[in-house]
Amino acid sequence: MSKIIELDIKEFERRAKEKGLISKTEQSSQEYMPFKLSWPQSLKDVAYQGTAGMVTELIAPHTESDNAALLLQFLVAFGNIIGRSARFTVSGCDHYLNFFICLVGKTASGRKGTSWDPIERLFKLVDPTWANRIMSGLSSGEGLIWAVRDPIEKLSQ
Amino acid sequence: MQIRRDTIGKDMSRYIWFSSRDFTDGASSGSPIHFVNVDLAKQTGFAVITEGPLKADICAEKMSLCFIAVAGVSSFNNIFAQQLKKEIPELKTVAIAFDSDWEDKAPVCNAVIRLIDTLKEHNINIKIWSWDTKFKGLDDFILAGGEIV
Repeated sequence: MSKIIELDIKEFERRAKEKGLISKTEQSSQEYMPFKLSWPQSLKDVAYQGTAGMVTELIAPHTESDNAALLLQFLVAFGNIIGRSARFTVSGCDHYLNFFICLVGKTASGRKGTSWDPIERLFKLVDPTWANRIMSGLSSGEGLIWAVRDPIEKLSQ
Repeated sequence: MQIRRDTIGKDMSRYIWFSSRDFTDGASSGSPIHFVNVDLAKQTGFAVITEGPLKADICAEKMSLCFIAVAGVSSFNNIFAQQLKKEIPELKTVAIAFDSDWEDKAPVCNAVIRLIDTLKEHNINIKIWSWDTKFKGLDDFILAGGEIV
């Protein structure tokens, strides 16, 4: 009976290249992405401050989504739910907590929506009315205007 | 909790997680990491990463090593290494022992590369285990009498 062979990273990469596995992988990514992107570096621990950091840490072991995505989703939801009230002032300028993010990842497998699910669930408990106002599928500026329009009322005979 | 189906039909998964995700306000199972013989890793600083908790249990029993199992080759996120360091701060070196089909299948090989990148960020030394490819899992190889170097 043969034995387990222990490869170091260089030997592993050499074997994978020799068998065309690494180039095959790169080719398949190219089908979806016009340029090669590597996964961003993890945020430093200092980013995970206070309640936002604590919630991220509690959820992280139970989801496939990225920690940074969980943290940002929390901050956006929190900033949005309290509205333009709480603020901090820097050099006489008020900074509110309204915050916008764009999560970029593969369709279906990027775990973008997965990072929102537990945060939405948490904030639904905080303010169900706010949660009812969450919209999705706004594909254009017109779509956004339509979603926040005043009700249309018409008289008819 | 994970259930192993005895029989499967076409396009059905052998393993399913116990969750209520498909129900209103249901909970996802998440993708928990399975640890076996953690004390050994704390003593030696070494652990083996494999796919599948059952496989990890069998190998840990036969090899007397710490095993860490992910649910599937891609079932880990980029804080995986952070979580390992949190559970086992003494961890210095890991051996990746995914199924031997990483030597034939690009997606599996790609998952190994991604795991290497994640572990490297946390300064964990990495080895990759390779064995006779007629045995798919490390457990198959070990149960057939295969040995560690």
